[in-house]
Amino acid sequence: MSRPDPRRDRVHDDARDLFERASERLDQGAAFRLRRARHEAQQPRPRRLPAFVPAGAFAAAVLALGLAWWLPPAGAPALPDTRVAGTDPVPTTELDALLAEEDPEVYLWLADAPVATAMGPRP
Amino acid sequence: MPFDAAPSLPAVDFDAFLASVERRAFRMAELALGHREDALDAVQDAMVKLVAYRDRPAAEWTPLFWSILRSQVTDRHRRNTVRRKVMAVLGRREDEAADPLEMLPDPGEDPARRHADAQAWAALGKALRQLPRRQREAYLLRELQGLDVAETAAAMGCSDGSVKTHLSRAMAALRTHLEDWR
Repeated sequence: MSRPDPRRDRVHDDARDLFERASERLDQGAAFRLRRARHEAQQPRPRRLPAFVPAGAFAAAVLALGLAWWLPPAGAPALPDTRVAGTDPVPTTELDALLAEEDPEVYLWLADAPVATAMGPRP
Repeated sequence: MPFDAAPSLPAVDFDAFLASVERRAFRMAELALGHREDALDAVQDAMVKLVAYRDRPAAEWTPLFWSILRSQVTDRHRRNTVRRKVMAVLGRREDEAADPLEMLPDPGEDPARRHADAQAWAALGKALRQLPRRQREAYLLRELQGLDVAETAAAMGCSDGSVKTHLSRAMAALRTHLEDWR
């Protein structure tokens, strides 16, 4: 086992002593700054909102505006649904074209024709 | 073996704890950074960050505080290195004006002793700043602050064995750097 180096201990002992003296004999300016820093560090700080909160609020506002623009107003009456289940509605233009091709004379004759009933033909 | 200069029993009161470490923390930061204002800022920021852990058990404050301060010192050391390089490129020299309050003589102290201490303090800081960072941290925390090995390891974020290795190398290097002291 080697003997401790006495020179090493003296150098480091001197360093410790110097550090102790320097810490005890702090100048007034530094001592004041440290006291103030300690008190300020313990003061309650205003709670800061996380960064995502304003971004989330902005996104929600944009979404609300989009929905308000896209959805119909609440007071407007809803149109009745005239479609028959399972069938596609016939476009108006196509219906007009079909009626134009029919002969109106057929419908006039049909209105004047006798109708058969249990009591006999009705004029 | 390093002496135990730091408070062996943790202060129960948070303010009392900060008061018990603030001066030594400032001196440690000053030695590591070589700049008084940077050292004060580092200690202040470390205090602010430690407040977030004030609800932890008081026994945890000591390693937490030194760990935070070590981190603050490291960050500032890096920033200062970059700043010095930029200044060198720009051909400017940083002026480090001494605080006038620091220059006020202590009426109860021998001026010759004070002058000798100031020179020794500057030499110690210069020698410490020449060490690799981990060696410097181990010496400051273990040897000068008087933390035990476990607390030093917790503050440095390494194992006990690493602390001993860094400390041993630091002491050997400083013995060479501080030859003029004897």
